[in-house]
Amino acid sequence: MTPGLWVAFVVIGAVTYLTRALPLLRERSGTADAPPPAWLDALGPCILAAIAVAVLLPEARGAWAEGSLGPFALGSGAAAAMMLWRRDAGLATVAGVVAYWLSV
Amino acid sequence: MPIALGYLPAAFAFGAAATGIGLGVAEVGAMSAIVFSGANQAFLLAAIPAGMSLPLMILLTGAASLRHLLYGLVLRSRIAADRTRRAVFAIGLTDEVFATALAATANGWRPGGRWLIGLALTAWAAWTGGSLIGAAAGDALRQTSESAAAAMGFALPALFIGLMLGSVRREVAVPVALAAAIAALAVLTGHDRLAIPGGALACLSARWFR
Repeated sequence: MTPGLWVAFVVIGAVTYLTRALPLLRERSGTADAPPPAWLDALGPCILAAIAVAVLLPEARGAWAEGSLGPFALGSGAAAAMMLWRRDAGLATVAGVVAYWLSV
Repeated sequence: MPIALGYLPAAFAFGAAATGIGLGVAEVGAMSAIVFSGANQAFLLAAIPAGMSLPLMILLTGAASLRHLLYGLVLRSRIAADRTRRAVFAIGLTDEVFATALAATANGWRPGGRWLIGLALTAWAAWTGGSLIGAAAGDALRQTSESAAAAMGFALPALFIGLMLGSVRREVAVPVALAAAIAALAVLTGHDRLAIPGGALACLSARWFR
């Protein structure tokens, strides 16, 4: 890993910490129960959807080229089914990997 | 204890997926300890191999972290801790810790500094420890057989399938679909590096689709 990446981790960690700490440390009471703006509410899900597509599309293309579309489809289906059943991304990952492994 | 158990599967999966992009076990543990944000770390797993620039990584993770501002605003009048203890508690104010702390205040109880710090540090330890175990197990599994190595390579796509489905709600369904479409267009036209920032911009459409 490059030194630049370590610096990025530290900066990202610091920025994340500040977003968590600053409102807790401010004395003035404010709009505690105000709903988040629409764009902020959608930002996280939009980033995750974009990442998922950016990861899955090249993987699917690679699987197609290597003739391993079956394991890819079964692994994806198992991950999605587990997520919809248990709402736990960790268990969904484990289910997807196991299904992929069993079908290789 | 429930929050630690809740973290372990995701931490394990993250650790296993992180070694798939070439990070060592110690690097995965350090990343989890420093960043301590599942969403931001998952984002980094896609951004690093894609060659995204460091400033853009910092900008997008910072934007995604803005939701934490709301957690602090909601909790600050509901907890009974001095500034020092609040500052320590903030280290671990993740989505799960926020939900647990908020649920604890439902009957009017105001959690004190010791309880809050215990909650946050338990979550931090579970996430960091689970990542380390997942990374070590992922490494070991890769070395057992070719099929195991191929299956571990699927950990990252499976993780994102779970994260994406877990984040979709009816109120944000249209912006999310738009983000996926923009990202797909970028990938299919060979502009992979624009997929994530381009998709993130779809959040600006949210005000018209609520």
